[in-house]
Amino acid sequence: MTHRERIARALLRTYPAHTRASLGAEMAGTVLDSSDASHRMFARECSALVVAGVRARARGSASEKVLGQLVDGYVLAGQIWLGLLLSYGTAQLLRNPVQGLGGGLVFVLVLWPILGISLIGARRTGGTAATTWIVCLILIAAPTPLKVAVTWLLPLTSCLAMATCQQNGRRDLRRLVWLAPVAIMSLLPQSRELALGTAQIDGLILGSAVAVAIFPINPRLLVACAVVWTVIGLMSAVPDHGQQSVPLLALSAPLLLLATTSRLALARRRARL
Amino acid sequence: MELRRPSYFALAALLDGPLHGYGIMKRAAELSDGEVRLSTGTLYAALERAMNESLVIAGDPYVVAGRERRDYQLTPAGRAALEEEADRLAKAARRVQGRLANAHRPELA
Repeated sequence: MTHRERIARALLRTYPAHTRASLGAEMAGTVLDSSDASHRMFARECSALVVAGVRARARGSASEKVLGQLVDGYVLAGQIWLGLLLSYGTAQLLRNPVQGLGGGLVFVLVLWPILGISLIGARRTGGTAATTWIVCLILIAAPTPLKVAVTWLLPLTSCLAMATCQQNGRRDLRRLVWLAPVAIMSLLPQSRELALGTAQIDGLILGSAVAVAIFPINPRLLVACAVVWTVIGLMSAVPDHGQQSVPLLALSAPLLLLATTSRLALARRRARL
Repeated sequence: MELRRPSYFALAALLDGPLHGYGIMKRAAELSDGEVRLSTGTLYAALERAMNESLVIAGDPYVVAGRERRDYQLTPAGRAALEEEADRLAKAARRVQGRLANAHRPELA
């Protein structure tokens, strides 16, 4: 395989998987045919390929069912939330290992495998384990189980959706690479902010910015971020959990979710026209 | 059904017989006097749409010099869509040309 062919095949990843599978090899061949002698033509072909690939993804995303995308986003929110909690718990444990040997160590030891299992594609198993874990957490959180239940309602339903609404995907160990950001956030210096640590909140802000950027081709991440911000808003509004009360955040996140849903419905209607 | 300019010339390129992707790109450039230069991304988006609407059918893939190719052929429905679009464009051109011929030329100062 030539250098140019490798580049063309890499850029074809901007296309949806089904287009890549049916037309990918042929398209790579056509890119090479049409730009054989010219570096300029090859550069033009490559940029046009990326634009067309992103458009193809946007068309595909707009034609999917809104409810399906919301459920996918909701499930993704569960995974992101588990990742943020895990990162915060690990950071606390690393900073103060002696104090953390009680509940903190168990918390971290249980969460790492749960998140890993759900990431590699065993979503039902991971979702069931996460749901069980959250229920146990609510039950042992006396004397204020109701307050804890309120703040854990969204993560609980999200993990429940992971356990019930989704098919187990194809096993792919490469997805464990998503544990790397969780580990990195654990190692960063941080103080407590909005019911989590600063590193987790900064990571979520970064993720939300990416979600806004990729919204036309994949709206699930924005749905997930909106759900996670809602959870953080609710937790911050409960005095036991947050240092500050942030009702504005708790109010704005569901509105963002509503706006995302409306935008999805609009994109789908346009795709039908 | 209105065809976009790239799709129009991509389909027109297939009037003389089946062609592979690069062949369509070259023929479309010739037919449009070099005005339409299809990129691979644009061409395959147009072909995918045309195949979904049964305007074009794809043959079996084959390999030439290590590169995969496939010939595309215009269907009767594709030919009809092309005729319809050509008529529409011709009518629009005639209408404007008629107006141009009858209209007073503005005098330049």
